[in-house]
Amino acid sequence: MSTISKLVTPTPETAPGDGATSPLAQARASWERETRAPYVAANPDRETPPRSQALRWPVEPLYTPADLDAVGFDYLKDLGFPGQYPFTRGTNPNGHRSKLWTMTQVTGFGRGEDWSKRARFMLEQGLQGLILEYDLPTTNGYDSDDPLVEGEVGRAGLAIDSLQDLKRALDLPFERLRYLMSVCNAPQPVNLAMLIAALEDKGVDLSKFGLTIVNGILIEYTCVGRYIYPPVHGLRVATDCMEYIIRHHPNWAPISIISAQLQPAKATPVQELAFSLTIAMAYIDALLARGFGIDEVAPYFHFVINVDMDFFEGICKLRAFRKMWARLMKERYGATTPEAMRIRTLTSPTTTALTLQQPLNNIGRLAIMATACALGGAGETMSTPLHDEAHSLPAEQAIRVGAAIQHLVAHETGVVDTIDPLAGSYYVESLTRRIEDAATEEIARIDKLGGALKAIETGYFQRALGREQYERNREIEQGRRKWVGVNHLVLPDEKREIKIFRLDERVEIEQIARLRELRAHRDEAQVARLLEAVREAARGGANLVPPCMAAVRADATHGELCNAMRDVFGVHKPDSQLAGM
Amino acid sequence: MTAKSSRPLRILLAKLGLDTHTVGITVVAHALREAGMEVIFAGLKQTPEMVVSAAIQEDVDVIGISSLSAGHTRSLPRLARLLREQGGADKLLIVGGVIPEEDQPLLEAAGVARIFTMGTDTREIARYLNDWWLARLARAEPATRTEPSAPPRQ
Amino acid sequence: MTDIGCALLAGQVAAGARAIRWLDDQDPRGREVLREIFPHTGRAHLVGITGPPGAGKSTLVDALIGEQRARGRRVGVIAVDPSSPFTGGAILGDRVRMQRHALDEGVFVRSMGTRGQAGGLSRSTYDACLVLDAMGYDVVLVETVGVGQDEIDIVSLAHTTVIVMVPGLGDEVQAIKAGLLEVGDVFLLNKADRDGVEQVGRELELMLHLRGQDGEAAAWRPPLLRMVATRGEGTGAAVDALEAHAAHLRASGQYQRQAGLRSYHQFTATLREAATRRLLERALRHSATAALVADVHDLKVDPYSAAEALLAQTEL
Ligand code: B12
Ligand SMILES: Nc1nc2c(ncn2[C@@H]2O[C@H](COP(=O)(O)OP(=O)(O)OP(=O)(O)O)[C@@H](O)[C@H]2O)c(=O)[nH]1
Ligand SMILES: [Mg+2]
Repeated sequence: MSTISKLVTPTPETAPGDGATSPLAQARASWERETRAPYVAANPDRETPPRSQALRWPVEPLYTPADLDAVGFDYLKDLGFPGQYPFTRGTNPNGHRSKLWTMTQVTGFGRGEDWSKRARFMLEQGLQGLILEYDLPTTNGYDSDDPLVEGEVGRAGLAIDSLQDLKRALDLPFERLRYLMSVCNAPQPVNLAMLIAALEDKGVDLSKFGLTIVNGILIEYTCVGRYIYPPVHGLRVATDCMEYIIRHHPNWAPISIISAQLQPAKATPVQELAFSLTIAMAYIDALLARGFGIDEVAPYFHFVINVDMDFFEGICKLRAFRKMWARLMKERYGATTPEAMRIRTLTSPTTTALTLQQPLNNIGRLAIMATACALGGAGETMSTPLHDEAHSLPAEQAIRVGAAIQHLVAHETGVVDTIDPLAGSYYVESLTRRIEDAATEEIARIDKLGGALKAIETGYFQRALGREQYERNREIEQGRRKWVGVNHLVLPDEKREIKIFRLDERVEIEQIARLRELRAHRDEAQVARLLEAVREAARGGANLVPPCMAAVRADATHGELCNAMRDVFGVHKPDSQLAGM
Repeated sequence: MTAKSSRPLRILLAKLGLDTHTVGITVVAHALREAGMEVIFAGLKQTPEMVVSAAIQEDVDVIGISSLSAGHTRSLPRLARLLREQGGADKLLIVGGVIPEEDQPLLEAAGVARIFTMGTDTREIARYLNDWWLARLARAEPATRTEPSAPPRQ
Repeated sequence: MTDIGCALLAGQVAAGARAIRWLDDQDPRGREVLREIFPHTGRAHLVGITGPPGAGKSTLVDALIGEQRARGRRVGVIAVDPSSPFTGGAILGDRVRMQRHALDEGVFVRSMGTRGQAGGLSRSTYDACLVLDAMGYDVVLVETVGVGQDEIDIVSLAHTTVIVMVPGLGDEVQAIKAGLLEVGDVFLLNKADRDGVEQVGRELELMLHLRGQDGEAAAWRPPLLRMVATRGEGTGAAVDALEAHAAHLRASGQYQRQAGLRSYHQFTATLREAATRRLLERALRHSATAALVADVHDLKVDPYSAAEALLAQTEL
């Protein structure tokens, strides 16, 4: 029996609630009285009490085995071993000793060729994977020449109007690209069809190359905003894409739940867990309704989880995610294989810790958060945002520094040499359990509301986030939480100390010209017929991916295809996301 | 926090285009309410035309746009022009969000009165608006000032 | 006539908007404009929309605007949200749900804060209705703040009071229902896509049936209609009901009477407020009566006796 479990095994003397009489409790009380109290009388706490960052839970001066007792901690039940249920200590049996995480970053701007050039540069900086973000016209289902999107083409991501654009973007050294994640949720069937067609045309062996599509429409309605159709139809579209991939490209990842989008919208770790997991359940239920079994679909679920500057909240959240997924699959869904209970993750430092002020300080923050990711269990993949985050899309120099941060955490710190090195810490274990317990309660609340889809439709998630946004901002403004450069160590009349990325605005004109050119040279009658086939599938319930595939091959445009589905599904009103207004 | 006024400043807040970063506009809305202002929310995914029309119907004093996804160089000048064309030149136009300093001259030339970027204390925004409002009220004819609506307390 | 008065009567949006602002701000120019336009009012059908917070009132107004526009009517909307009692500030969020009509020239939406007024409306809501009426809007929809049972000022303002109910509000809503039930002309059971509609529907029908029994035979029978405002379902029937009620009021002569009643209500409210203010101002100028007011603050005299004493001293 390990020391910890010996200490916490409830015996009549140390049973929880009866702590006052145990030798430990007595020793602790005497330390409080004789050693700490006199010191604190002369040197009071800087804050009373210090609170954790997002949950704002009071943090005790000292954690001891009694805190493990208080949550009923049990080593075998709560932790187990790496690569084994409940995976709290990690999903890989050898941690990062055999394999480091795949190192990636997010990128997206301009036209296909602009993106490809940038992607090649990134792969030369020691990155092995890319997360492809599209511009807002694309993710909202509009073509670049739609009057509604004037001024937004290629600005905040890659502009895609046709298969030809995506082929230009995917002009990449595939032998060096280990990971590609595509973030194009609402128009997912169109995007997926284009990706498959483009990769096929490039001669990429689809059974060897691993593609991840995010396909995460439910979080778009919650706090991101790149939606087109009403939520029920959004879910159906997403399920079509998952089903298509599971049946035709079983080595790909058809769904990723980006908890890392809930966090920047100010979800607490408890909310992140509860919202993400209930959202996952909505997708799972949709797949089960199509006749899949849980052991079949659970291994396809992937999560993107970030950590904020509060080291322990972040680390414990990662551990709780692994454990809760495993328990959910086993206990709620009756999964039987370890593969179904083993969560897949991409971890990342958060963007919201990074300041506009004194941007070089962000390098320090990124290193700290990337270390927290590694300590909490980085999972299969890590991505780092960059120190110029609050200024604009990344500049090349920032990309290089960001890539280096991942390497130095991996190779210089030693945090990856042993598995789950913080396990057994009284604070870490008790906080992990408290987060898990609170998230379990929140899941029960969401269940009562009828699940994630209902919670989104009634604005429950959105309102909850709104309250957090307000409260977190107040904390900073009232100086209750220090943020270097913003309310602490502020430089008066600060001058920007970095060079930032600037997009050439001609991109939009050129993209539109190219789109017009494409439309002028295609078989209009065929396009019309193929678009009707998409409408037909939308109406009838047949999988949307095959008709989209046929249409993109005939150069039907991205916007036209989304419009065909709009004709059937209607549009989502853009007011649902306004938290608390 | 200002004293309750029988003539509160009215401000329309909106997001233009497809940019749906909502945290900034949410905290600003609450802060301005706390500062005694009437905040009218026009919502997400607005066009400049919709915002101008709403601003006129609501007879707001200020239009506040939050822009984080880099659409500001096109949408804001267009909004400012429409506002002038439709007789709203007396309304103050302010902006917040991700606005690189390189773009500031362009926006100022177009008629944006003030730009607030990340990390701005919302009380500073309220103070700025309050000062502007008091100066405007002082410039208006004294006849338009209203008597206090409640009897003075002892 | 003032420029604003002329422009407003010609239907100019900016002029109407400014007049409402003056009235809301108690700017004396507002009164002047109101005097000018008053003879041009009395045409619009004033419809009050009230119900518990979050019942879908704004969504419903959005749907009603669409339907009324399809029938060729010009629509004015006043949407009232609560002002903070502490700061006077407000977040007026109803408009968000109606923004798709922002570019329709036949629609005018105005948001107002309650500015310290209890009862679900602001002091100037009635004035704003008069402005929209004079501007030629055929229908004026007034959305109140989400109400409990006492906040039903809308009844004395509108020709037709619409009560919005939803399933799943829980027990406390029994009381609200009882209060609102007395005053509604049209009942809309919104969110009919939610679980529990059938049960709430049955309860409401029963209660309405009971209410119907003690009226005269010719009296208006308030209909109960099911709606899904988010999808626009039931909007046609709802507008039909509004029109039927207006026709009923006209046929029975109540349309005019209602307007008169409303005006009288506003008259007494205005008097009450002005008289109190003047009385107090005068009282504070004389030492004897000022002392009486001070005694109230110091709890030396009960408020009723003090009021009597003051009225006696000012010979009222
Ligand atoms: C949080 C965040 C998100 C969250 C948003 C959650 C939500 N519901 O809001 C998520 C993860 C969903 C997200 C998504 C995206 N994001 Co983002 N995101 C950010 C991030 C990290 C912080 C923004 C934030 O919330 N700040 C906190 C608030 C309180 O600050 P603020 O908004 O600046 O507001 C303050 C002031 O600016 C001012 N203010 C703001 N508005 C107003 C209005 C008025 C009237 C006034 C007076 C003042 C004012 O007062 C506020 C208080 O101080 C920024 C980087 C950054 N630091 O700005 C990137 C950033 C804005 N995102 C970016 C991008 C590209 C995106 C995407 C478009 C990616 C894509 N290609 O799809 C998506 C899609 C979003 C969309 N549909 O618009 C880019 C934009 C690039 C650019 N401008 O050049 C940024 C700059 C990151 C980067 N460097 O790449 N994002
Ligand atoms: N399911 C369903 N939801 C609806 C329906 N009508 C409105 N809603 C939703 O209910 C919520 C509240 O709607 P609002 O129109 O803002 O309600 P309100 O009564 O105006 O709210 P307040 O003005 O805050 O009192 C929104 O999320 C609407 O989308 C409906 O018929 N069915
Ligand atoms: Mg409302």
